[in-house]
Amino acid sequence: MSTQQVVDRQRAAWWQSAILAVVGVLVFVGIVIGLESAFQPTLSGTALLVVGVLLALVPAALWLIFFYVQDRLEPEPKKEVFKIFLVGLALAGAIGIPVTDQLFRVSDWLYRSSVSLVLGSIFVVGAIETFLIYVAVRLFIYDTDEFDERSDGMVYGTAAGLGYATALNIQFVLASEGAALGSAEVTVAEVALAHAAFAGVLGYFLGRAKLERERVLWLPLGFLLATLLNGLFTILRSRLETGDIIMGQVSAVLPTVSGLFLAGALALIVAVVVALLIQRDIARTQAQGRRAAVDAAVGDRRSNFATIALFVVLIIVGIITWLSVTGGVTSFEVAGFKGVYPDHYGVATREGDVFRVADVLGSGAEFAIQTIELQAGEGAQQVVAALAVQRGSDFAAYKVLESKEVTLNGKPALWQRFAYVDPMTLLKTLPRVVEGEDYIVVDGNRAVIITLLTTPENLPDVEPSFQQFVERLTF
Amino acid sequence: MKTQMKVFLSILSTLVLVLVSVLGAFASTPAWRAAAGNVESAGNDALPQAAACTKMQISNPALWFATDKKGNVYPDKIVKRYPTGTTVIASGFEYNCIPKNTTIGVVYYYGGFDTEPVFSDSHKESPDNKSGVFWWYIGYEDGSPLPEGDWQVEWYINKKLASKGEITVGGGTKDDIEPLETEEATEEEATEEEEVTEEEPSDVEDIWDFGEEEEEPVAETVTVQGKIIDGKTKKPIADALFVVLNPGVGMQEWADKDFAEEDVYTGAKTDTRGQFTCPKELERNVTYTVVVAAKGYQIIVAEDFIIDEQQEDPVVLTIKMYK
Repeated sequence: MSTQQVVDRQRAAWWQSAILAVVGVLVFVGIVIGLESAFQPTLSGTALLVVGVLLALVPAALWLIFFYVQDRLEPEPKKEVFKIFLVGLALAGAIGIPVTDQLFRVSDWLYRSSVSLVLGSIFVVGAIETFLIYVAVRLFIYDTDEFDERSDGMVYGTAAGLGYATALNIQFVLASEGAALGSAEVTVAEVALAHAAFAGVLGYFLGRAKLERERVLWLPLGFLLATLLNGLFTILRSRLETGDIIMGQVSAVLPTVSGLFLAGALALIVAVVVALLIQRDIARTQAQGRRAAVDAAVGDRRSNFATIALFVVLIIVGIITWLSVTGGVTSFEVAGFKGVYPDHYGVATREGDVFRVADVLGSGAEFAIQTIELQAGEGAQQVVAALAVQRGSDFAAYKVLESKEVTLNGKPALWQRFAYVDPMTLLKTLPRVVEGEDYIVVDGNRAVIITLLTTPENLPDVEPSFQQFVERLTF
Repeated sequence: MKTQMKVFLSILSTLVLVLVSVLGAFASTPAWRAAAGNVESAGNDALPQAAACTKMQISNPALWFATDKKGNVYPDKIVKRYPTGTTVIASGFEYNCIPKNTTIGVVYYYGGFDTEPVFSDSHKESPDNKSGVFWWYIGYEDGSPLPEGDWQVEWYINKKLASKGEITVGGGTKDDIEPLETEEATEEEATEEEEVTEEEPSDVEDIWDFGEEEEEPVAETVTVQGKIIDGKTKKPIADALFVVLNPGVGMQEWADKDFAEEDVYTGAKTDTRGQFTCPKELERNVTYTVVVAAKGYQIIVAEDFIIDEQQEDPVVLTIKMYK
């Protein structure tokens, strides 16, 4: 048996491993759902979290094991593959997730419109994820001697992608505080398979970039393709899983699997296509009678810079999208009050208000402007007392939590933060805690009260918009 | 390939074994767990002493007492109707005595005994050998007027229905805070079948308020309630918005009008358990646009939401949302 035969057979087994891996993950998910409905485990608290996190690791592990097993004839060092997996996981946990969730606050605005969904998925989430997977491979394995085969790009790329997916999955399990195991496993498997696919594409381009002196734009092209695939997957999945209104009380809601099948199909297609491409590349190299340039020094700096530049361009588009979706404002002018409010808020002025806007479909937060006529000698303190009486009689447990004197647009003002309980009487829903802020400005013989109403959970998110609303208000 | 299959099967079976043992360890034996009951045990120590009260007897039908704005109840004044603008209504009964271990339960309905209760509560009473009057009043926390229409009450003694009654709110003017008709309570006094008074249209437009009670049969409108959950985790979504737009108003039109409240037929927000109830009933066979929104989830717009005769009242919805 010649070396070439061995290598060829090994390559031909790619698609078999891909099928086995996808089927294995799907079967595993099916088993988890089956066992869950059979045993109806009463896991809760820490036990549920621990089992959830362990189950979150399985799809990635299955995928890696199957590929590792098929690669056994000339396997990559286990340590290296595992290292790249961990690097992917760490980069996602330390940079990727905090940047998308805390800095860009993607979940707050991604679903506001189809435009924000498409642009946000590709230029923010897609670009950041692809870049970190790229960084994991490029900085931690690409320039070493271990990266010496065409398929190495796919092996290491997938490892990094699965590491990233695992971080997302652990975060998902922790954030949902122990979701139902079956449904959670569907999501976990979906995320793992989808990321294996995106990263596989990037990996193929990385492999060829290193081993076949490709043009400068080759790697950026692969980066763009992986980013687009990532974004398109999010968009397509959201088209498949649009939400349902089901008549009747459904106690046993079966997990939705359309996203999982989509991810499975994508992973399979990518694995097969990449395997075929690699085979074709080998055949072409043989026909041309030259060996691939196995040289660690070949890694093209310019190509790397071009990729980084592309990422910068993509993320700039992403930042513009983010700012225009979240920072867009609408001007208003009512009864001598001029200002702006966030684009996605709607006017909800009620009796007794000068002006009121509400984030009807989002956080539900409200910004209101009211005025109170003052008697001679009355000041902000009288307004505070009047508000306390009014809110105290309308709601339960009204309490001023914090109060201080501030300057608002050059005028002295009183700022207070308060909370109360809206009893939701007769709505048969639980009472709700409302937290808010007032700016009270004495303006001649009237007091202007600018109020923010929201829930304690949403307060940090809506406060910046409220600050902007207050600061740009003139009267 | 054979080796691969072996590896595949061995990995899979190992995982299954691990899973079975983990889940099995936490498995609950019967799939139909019994709901926790709160029946008051009669107890062996409840043997009555001589002359002590053994059986509680209460007046039926239930009585309705005059009330005022502050929530004061005047048990000596029985009313046959509450005026428009009434903020507090109070039903009650006369009783002979209260034995040990007596729990009195009350259920208030608005729009018929077959609707979802608007209020229910129960309380364990201290034993009492004397007769007296018992009542339980209800009203909005914020002191706003109660919706006009027929209100019903059921009284339960130790979970057994003991008395019921009905009263109409409306027919007077808002200024009439004191009851229009008051009479001295008598032993035989009972709320007879009330004549249906002409109702005034409600001038309240707030979407969180009850709608006007229609003259049509109850079956024509249905209460809509439900639960909104994350389609992936099945966890309830708190603070999700369920909005029903006025018939004929579509999502685009509503969005163009800046989500104006005037286009909203009714709406509700979910509590921390993901549950909501629309304060206003929906008409059957009318096409509404329903919008469901929650922060961080894809918005759901159903432009053809119809409740037909097949649906029971109340209609309970299960809504799955996705990220």
